[in-house]
Amino acid sequence: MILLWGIPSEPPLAMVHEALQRMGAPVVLFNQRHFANSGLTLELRDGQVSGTLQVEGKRHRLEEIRSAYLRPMDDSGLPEVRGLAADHPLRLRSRMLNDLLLQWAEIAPGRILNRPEAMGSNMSKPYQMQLIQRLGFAVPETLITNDPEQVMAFRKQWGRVIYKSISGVRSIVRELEESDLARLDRIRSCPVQFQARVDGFDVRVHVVGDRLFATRADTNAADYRYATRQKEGKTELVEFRLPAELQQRCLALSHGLGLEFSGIDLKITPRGEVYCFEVNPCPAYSYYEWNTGQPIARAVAEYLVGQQSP
Amino acid sequence: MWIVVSPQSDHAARWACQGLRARGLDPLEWVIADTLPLTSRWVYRIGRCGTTLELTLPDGRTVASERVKGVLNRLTIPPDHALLVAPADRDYVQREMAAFYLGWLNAFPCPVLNPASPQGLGGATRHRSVWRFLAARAGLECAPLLANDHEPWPPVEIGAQGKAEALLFVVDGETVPAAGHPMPPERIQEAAIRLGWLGGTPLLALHFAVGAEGRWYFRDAETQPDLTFGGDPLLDALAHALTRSRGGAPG
Repeated sequence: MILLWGIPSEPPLAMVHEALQRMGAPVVLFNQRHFANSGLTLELRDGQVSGTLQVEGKRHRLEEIRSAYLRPMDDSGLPEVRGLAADHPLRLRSRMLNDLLLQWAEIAPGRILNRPEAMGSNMSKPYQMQLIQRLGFAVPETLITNDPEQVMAFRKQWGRVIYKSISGVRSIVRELEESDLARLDRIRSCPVQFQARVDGFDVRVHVVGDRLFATRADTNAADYRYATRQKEGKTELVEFRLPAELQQRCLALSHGLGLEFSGIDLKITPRGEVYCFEVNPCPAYSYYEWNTGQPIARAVAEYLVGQQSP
Repeated sequence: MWIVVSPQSDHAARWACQGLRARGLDPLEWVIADTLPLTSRWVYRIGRCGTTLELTLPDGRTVASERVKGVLNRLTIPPDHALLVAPADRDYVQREMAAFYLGWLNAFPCPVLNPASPQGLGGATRHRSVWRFLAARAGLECAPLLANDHEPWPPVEIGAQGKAEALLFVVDGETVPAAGHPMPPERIQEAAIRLGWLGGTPLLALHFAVGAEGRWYFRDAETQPDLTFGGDPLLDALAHALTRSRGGAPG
C-alpha cells in the first residue's frame, strides 16, 4: 500500500497519483483537508511501529503502508481551519493529526518521500549551504551581514552581487543595483544575505532514489523561476545530460542530506565550474516535467512501488 | 576562547560558566541571547575559504569563530528581534533570524554542545515516540507507547507505573548520572552513548524508569536539560568535551 498525503489537486501530488493509478498500484489518498473525518493511532513496541490510519471511512493498517509521498501544506492555512481561534477544537484536531502522521513518517519503515527531519535543512540557506559544502559542492561566495560597509566591500570585490532571503521563505533573487545602495542602511536591523553573482546557466537536478533528471534553464533574469514577471524576461527549459562524475556527486548530496527525492539547484559557469545553490526537499517538479516531458512523476511512482533500489 | 550562549534567565548556563572557568576554560565569554538583537555587527561568510563568523556584541566584545575553541549552546528559541522592526515585517524578520541562528550555531569549527538543528536551535528536539524509536535502535529497552490523534500528549505508556526514576547525562561519549541517581549497567551506558550519536546530539539527558527487577526502561531524552543536576562530574565531562579537539587545552 502506498500513502499519498496532501492536497489531491496540487499538481506534484496529482501527477504521482495518476502515474500510480496507471501502474495499478494500491494507493491510499489522504486529502489533508478531510482531517475531521480521519483518524490515526500509533503504537511503538520494541522499536516496531504499528497502528491504523482511517481515511474516508476506511481503516488501513500502518504496517501495510510500504511507502509514502508527503506533500502536506501548513495545516494552519487549510480553508477548514483558517480564521479559527488557535484553541478551536477543529484546529487542534487538525494539528494533532498532522503531528502524529509526521511522527509516523519519521519512524516508519519503507520508502518515505521525504522524512520530516531530513526536510528541515532548507529552512536556513546558510545552514544548508554549509552541509552542501561538506558534501562536496562549491557554493557561491556569500556574505550575511547587517553592516553596510561590509556589503560595499563585498560588492567591490565580486562585482555583481545578488541578495535573497536567509530562511526558506520563498523570495525572488534580485541583483544589488546602484539604486539599492541608498537604502542599504536598512539592513542594520536584520542581517541580509548577499552572494557573488555566478554567471552561467542554471540546472535543476531532480533525484529520485538513484535516478536523476537534469533540466537546463536558460534565462535573461536573475531568477529564472520568475523571469516572466520581468519586462521581456524569459526562460527556456530543456533536458540536460550531466557528466557521470556530477551525477555521482548529486546522488551523494541528496542521500547525504537524507533525501530520497530532491531538487538540486546548480549553476554551471562558462569555464565548467559547478556551484550548488540549494537543495529543495519537496520539489515542485511538475513545472519541469510540463516543459521538458521528463518522466519525473513516473519515476517517483516507480520508486514508491519499489521498482528501483533504495 | 570558549563561549556559552544562553538566555540571561538560564541559571544552568550561569552555573556552567562558573564551573567551566574554574576548570581552566579561560577566557570564557557568556553571550547573553537577549542582547543578540542589539548586536552591532554580524559578518558571516561562506565560500571557498570556508565559513567564518564575527560578531560585535553591544558591550563591545567581539567573537570570531576561528578563535572559539568550544561552544556550550543553550539557545532553544531565537532571540526576539521583532521590537526592532515595523509590525508588518515582524514575522518575516523572526523567520529570517531563526534561519540565521541555525546557520551561525553550525558555523563553528570547534566542539558545540549541542549543534543547532532544524528541529531545535539547542539540538534536535524530537517527539517522545521518535526518541523511543531511536533508543530502541541504540539498544535501550523502552516501555510500549500508544498514541492517537484526539488526545493530547503525553501518550499512554503501557506498564510504566511503579518504577523509580533515574536521570543519566551523555556528554560526547561519556555518561554521568545525575547527583544521587544510580549509575546504570555498562550495556545501558553504551546504548545511551549510541543514542547520543544516533540523535546527532552530543549532550543529552536521558530519563529512565528502573524496575524492581533492575531493568532500565528508556522514557525520554532532553537536549537542553538542567545541567546543575549533574553536579561537578558533569562539569568535568563538559570541560573535557569542550577541550577535546583542535588544540583546545585549558589554560
